[in-house]
Amino acid sequence: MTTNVTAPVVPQAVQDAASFLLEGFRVMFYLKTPSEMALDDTDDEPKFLLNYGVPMFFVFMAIEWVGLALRHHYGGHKNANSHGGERPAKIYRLNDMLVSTTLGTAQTIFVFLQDYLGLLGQAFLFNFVSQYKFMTVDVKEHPWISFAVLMLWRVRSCTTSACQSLCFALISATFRIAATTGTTDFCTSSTFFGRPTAFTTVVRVSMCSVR
Amino acid sequence: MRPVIGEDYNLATGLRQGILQPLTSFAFHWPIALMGFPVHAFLAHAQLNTLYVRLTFQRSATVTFTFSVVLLGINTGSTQTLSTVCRSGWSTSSMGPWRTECTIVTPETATMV
Repeated sequence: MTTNVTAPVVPQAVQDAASFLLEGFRVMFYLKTPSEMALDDTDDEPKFLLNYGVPMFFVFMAIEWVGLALRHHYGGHKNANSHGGERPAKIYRLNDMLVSTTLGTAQTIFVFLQDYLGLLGQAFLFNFVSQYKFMTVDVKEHPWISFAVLMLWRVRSCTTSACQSLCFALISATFRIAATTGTTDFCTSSTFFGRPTAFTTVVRVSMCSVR
Repeated sequence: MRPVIGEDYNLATGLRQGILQPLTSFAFHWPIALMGFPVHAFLAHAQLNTLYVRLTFQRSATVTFTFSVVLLGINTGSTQTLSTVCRSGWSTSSMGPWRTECTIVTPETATMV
């Protein structure tokens, strides 16, 4: 007697949906690993927002819609609002959701228009300012420190509130890495915007003597 | 900080953003370009930050601070491995989380350890 044991066949569409949901979950909650985020000029341009962010936001809104509808229907009325429990819990209102979604779509269209025209977009401004860079950080060589610096600069612009000292520590660590790995431009030429400044002199004297 | 919101306060409310707001954000991020990070790494973090902030209703300060403390703890351990390798006869001594120095090994310091 022979038993023919076969693995359960999962349809390809289900596998694709599961992998998409898993990757979207990681994108939405900033759970990408630093080596994945260490994108160099050799990599393609990241499309997390377009490929995963926008669809996953609507997936989450659908889940929240179902949850709010269930809470609205089955109890949970007490203290669910500011009316002493006299009214049932709130559910999605179509007009409110349409206005919010339209505003977000308008901003996204504006950003994509900027990037498509190549004018005043993020990449354009970044490349313009990069002409005057005074050192180079290899993100594939140091993925963790690059991850921390880039994430914190985006969050609160690294100059305000509680993460100020943390960000200065991160920036000094970045300077130190650039000085020890020899990818700095300021160690050889202390110019900044075409001429030496006090800042570049201090950085050069304090950091370039490490080597 | 809690943003100006509508009557309802659900996930769709996180999508209420100003249309011209992206024009103003880069003024705070040009030091990254000066420090020489690649543009694609910057764009990847920009996209993930946008999604994360909108998902958490722009109240991500506490979460972000906790996460940064965890990251600092991880990074403190890895900074030691990133430091320069000392010559033979010299040993590495950590002067703190961000500082490592090379000290020469003498019989006196060896007995102190």
